[in-house]
Amino acid sequence: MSFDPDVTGALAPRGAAPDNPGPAAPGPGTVAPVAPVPVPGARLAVRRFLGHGPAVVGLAILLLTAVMAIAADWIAPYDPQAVSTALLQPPSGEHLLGTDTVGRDILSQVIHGGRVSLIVALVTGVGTLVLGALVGSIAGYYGGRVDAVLMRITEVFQVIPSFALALIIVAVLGTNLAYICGALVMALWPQMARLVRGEVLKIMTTDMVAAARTVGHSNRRIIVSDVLPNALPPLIVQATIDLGSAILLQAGLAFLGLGDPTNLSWGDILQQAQRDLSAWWMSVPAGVVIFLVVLAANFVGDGLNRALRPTSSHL
Amino acid sequence: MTEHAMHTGLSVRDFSVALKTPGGPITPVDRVSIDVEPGRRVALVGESGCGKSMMLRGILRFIPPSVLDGVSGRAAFDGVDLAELDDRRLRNYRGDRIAMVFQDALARLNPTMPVGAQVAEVLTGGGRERDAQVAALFRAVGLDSSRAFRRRFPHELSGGMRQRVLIAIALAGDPELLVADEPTTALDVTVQAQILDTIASVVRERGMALLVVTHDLGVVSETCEYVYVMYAGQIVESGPVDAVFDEPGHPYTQGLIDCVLDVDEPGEQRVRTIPGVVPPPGSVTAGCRFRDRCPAAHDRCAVDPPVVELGPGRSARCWLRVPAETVEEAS
Amino acid sequence: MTDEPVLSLTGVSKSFGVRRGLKLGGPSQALAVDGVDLRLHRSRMLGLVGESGCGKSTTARIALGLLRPDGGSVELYGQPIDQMSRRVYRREFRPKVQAVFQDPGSALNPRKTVFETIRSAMALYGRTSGASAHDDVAGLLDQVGLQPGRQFLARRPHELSGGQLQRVGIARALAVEPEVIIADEPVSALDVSIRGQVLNLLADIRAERAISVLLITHDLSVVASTAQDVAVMYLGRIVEQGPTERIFRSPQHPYTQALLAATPRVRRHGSPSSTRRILPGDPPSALTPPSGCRFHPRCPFAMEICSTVDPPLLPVPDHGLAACHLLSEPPAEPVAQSRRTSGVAESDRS
Ligand SMILES: Nc1ncnc2c1ncn2[C@@H]1O[C@H](COP(=O)(O)OP(=O)(O)OP(=O)(O)O)[C@@H](O)[C@H]1O
Ligand SMILES: Nc1ncnc2c1ncn2[C@@H]1O[C@H](COP(=O)(O)OP(=O)(O)O)[C@@H](O)[C@H]1O
Ligand code: SF4
Ligand code: SF4
Ligand SMILES: [Mg+2]
Ligand SMILES: [Mg+2]
Repeated sequence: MSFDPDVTGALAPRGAAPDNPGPAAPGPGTVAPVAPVPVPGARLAVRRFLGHGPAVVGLAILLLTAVMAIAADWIAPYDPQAVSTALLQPPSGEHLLGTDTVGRDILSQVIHGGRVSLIVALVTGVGTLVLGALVGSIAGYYGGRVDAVLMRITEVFQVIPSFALALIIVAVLGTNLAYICGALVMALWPQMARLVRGEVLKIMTTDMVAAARTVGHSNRRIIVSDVLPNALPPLIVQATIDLGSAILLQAGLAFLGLGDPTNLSWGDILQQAQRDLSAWWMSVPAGVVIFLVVLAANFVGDGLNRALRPTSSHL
Repeated sequence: MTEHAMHTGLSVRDFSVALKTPGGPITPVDRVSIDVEPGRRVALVGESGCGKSMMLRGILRFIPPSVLDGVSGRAAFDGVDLAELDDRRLRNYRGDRIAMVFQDALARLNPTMPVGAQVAEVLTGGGRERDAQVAALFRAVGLDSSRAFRRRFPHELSGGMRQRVLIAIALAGDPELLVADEPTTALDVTVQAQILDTIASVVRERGMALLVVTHDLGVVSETCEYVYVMYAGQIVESGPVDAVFDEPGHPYTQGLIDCVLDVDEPGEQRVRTIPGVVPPPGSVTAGCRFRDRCPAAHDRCAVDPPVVELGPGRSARCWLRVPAETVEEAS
Repeated sequence: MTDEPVLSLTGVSKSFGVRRGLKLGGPSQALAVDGVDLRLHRSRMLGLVGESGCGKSTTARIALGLLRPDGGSVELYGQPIDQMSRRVYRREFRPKVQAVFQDPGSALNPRKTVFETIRSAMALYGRTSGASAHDDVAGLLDQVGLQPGRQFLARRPHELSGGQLQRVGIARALAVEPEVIIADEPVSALDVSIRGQVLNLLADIRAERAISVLLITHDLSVVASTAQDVAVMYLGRIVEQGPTERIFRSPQHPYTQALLAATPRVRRHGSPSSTRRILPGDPPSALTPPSGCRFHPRCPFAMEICSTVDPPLLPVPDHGLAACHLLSEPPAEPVAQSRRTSGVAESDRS
């Protein structure tokens, strides 16, 4: 996955690029109109993203879930923790998705659980991005021994299956939401670090970096303002996919009983559903939303991938 | 090759390429006609942005539908309209009969495969024989043909060497027509010379034709017989190389010749240039497209200049070539 | 050229490790640059020419301080950079030696405007400050022929043509007020019609700002028309060096002769049809450099001594420097006699 900063690709001479119909390469001496400058290719990227059906559907699902999570207090018909005498009710007008073994409303649980799941996903996603970008860019930029050491560490983390790793960390540290997020970051960062490193290595060989070093910019500045911004598109794609993975992993942990008891997530709902498998309404709704959101995250990731990829590659 | 009764080579008539852009369709290639007869070595010259690559890609149908608005006119190879071939036959044509070396070819090598293997991949033979073929191709394009060298990866080669690997890949299919879009721009003089001479001799031996895009007029002069000069989507001059270079029929051709640096006259000097730039396809207006940059532009040039025959196989698209009395008659 | 060189490379070498083949003992080191001496003088342009892979770009990266040589030294006003303190290196060396790259598009950050790119370079050395930054950058753009400079400030690379991009690249180099500019193939990616603009600009900068320029190119005609001096490189070594006019009019080294002979020329008005000779043989591989004179497997004048003894780079009176046994040995081999007409070769160098 390479990102060609010149979105118009090798086919179109600069300045006359079809997707940037702006000022078209006036010769020296000729007066060219000053055009307001959009970020290169941003409009094109948006157009491509919106042109990809699944991506739009995915984005809609994610946005809807986010709105639901934010507005949970107003939307949910009941307090998700409030017990009632209506135990194990199948779906009805009263309780649209039925109730659980202690009479709590499932719909309300799913709505509030979304809040927890999404927070976990978001915190994990950002944490993974930051840690991965940090390790990956330092390894890629400095190369040599720094790279070797960092990559060995990354590999150590990577050989342990991510779920097992998260499981161990949470089992040892406890099921506090913060620990859970930390454990998920630990499970997901190696892949991000490797991706970033690869992108950085590619960008490092460009004249852009040689030029910045020649002028005398500091390493930190080169990484932050030249290398990372140009490595960003694949990272964004990966981060989106990591959102889905985080939800899935967290649900897995909760399913095994390693959920934060004070903050019920979708996974915790599934875990409770284990107690009575005949009450399908306890497991299906949470299962369906997890499935949908993970799928949506992958659709969006795929859409971003298409949108941000250079045009020239298919010519 | 005997099954092709007619060997007419590549024949392109009134060929236009339209592309989709957010600002509406543009026509970077506007009713061009060219011929590449078998065994002929033909050059296409012009500044970047003139439409040379678009023309070649349009003819060989390399433009993806997401970009292509449509083509018109006819592009035929040995009498077969390329536009009418189905995908499979088109692929056969492109692999076996017409090979293309691209301008942006460097990106086309697989970074994870030794270069020798990448050439071997397109060959059909097996084992030792194939090995020998690869070595021969490496030699033909001026590369070190040793086993150690063929085991190297693209990133271990200099830019020039990588481009030569790509030319070897193109020659591997033994095509009837080699279409090369600025194949030697990245190469040094000795290798340019070697490669173009290799190509020229292969062309002669096998009755293979060559259509080469280059902006090195020295290369054109040394290796080609016929030249087309393209400007802003149109062919503005065509003719036998020597005749065109001795007496250019179009001010643009003259301008390109003036830009040539003479290695035989060393010494500091101001280098000649053509002021201004090629108008992008969206912005062409009626009249001669070279008008803004032409030192000889005059009133008549606001009207499209006609294509004037200048002699056998020679023509130019310029009012200066129209005898004065015919202009009076016309107006 | 008796004045002190601004930047000098002395005995610089660099080899790269290369993946071993399956067979043990295969070559594993590519000797890209092998004992190169170059001196860049104030206000002069030195052209460096040679075939692909001969080590031109590696030399450029070493001269720029971007690559550490295995041996030899790079000196700015006689001070070796590997002995400079970090501070001196950053303050004294870094801004003084700047680069212009082959592909002007990929040498600029596509996400930054022209203004940001140049301002940040200027600001590094306090050459501009917040208030006057726009004027300073616009002024510099004017000087490199992007006129009026103001109109280019807000542009990003994709909104500029190749020639304009190269001017921005040159402006960035000038922004830190260098004394040396190293230009690696600065015009190979440009159209012939625009090439002249960039070459003329580099020539003007050299003359007006008293900058030394190292112009690296594979195109001899570019050097012929712009550089006062030329160095010819073959397989990591300088084989001939001197004033361009002399070297191009009467090349002494067989390789220089071969390069000139192979240069394609536009034949006009019945000029002798193709006097061009193609240099035979495989181009050099840095993996397996030949013994003795590295050119001997391809040299039409090769003698016995050539395969065993490495010819040193020695002065040739009224010419420059050259490394060839023909120029130092008494004429022994008949094969060489055809070209031993000039008195230059007989020059006594005991
Ligand atoms: N990073 C590297 N790893 C291995 N070999 C290298 C590396 N960089 C360069 N080389 C080798 O060093 C030699 C010199 O390369 P260099 O890039 O300096 O050539 P050049 O003269 O600039 O060629 P060109 O004209 O094609 O740009 C070549 O043999 C090349 O294969
Ligand atoms: N993908 C594209 N979409 C729209 N216009 C394009 C595209 N690629 C090239 N063009 C335009 O077509 C014209 C001709 O381009 P090209 O054939 O690449 O020129 P040349 O090969 O002569 O340098 C240019 O003005 C260019 O901007
Ligand atoms: S028609 Fe006119 S403007 Fe066009 S090339 Fe001829 S003289 Fe110049
Ligand atoms: S030393 Fe010998 S082989 Fe080398 S260039 Fe001179 S004559 Fe040729
Ligand atoms: Mg092109
Ligand atoms: Mg190079």
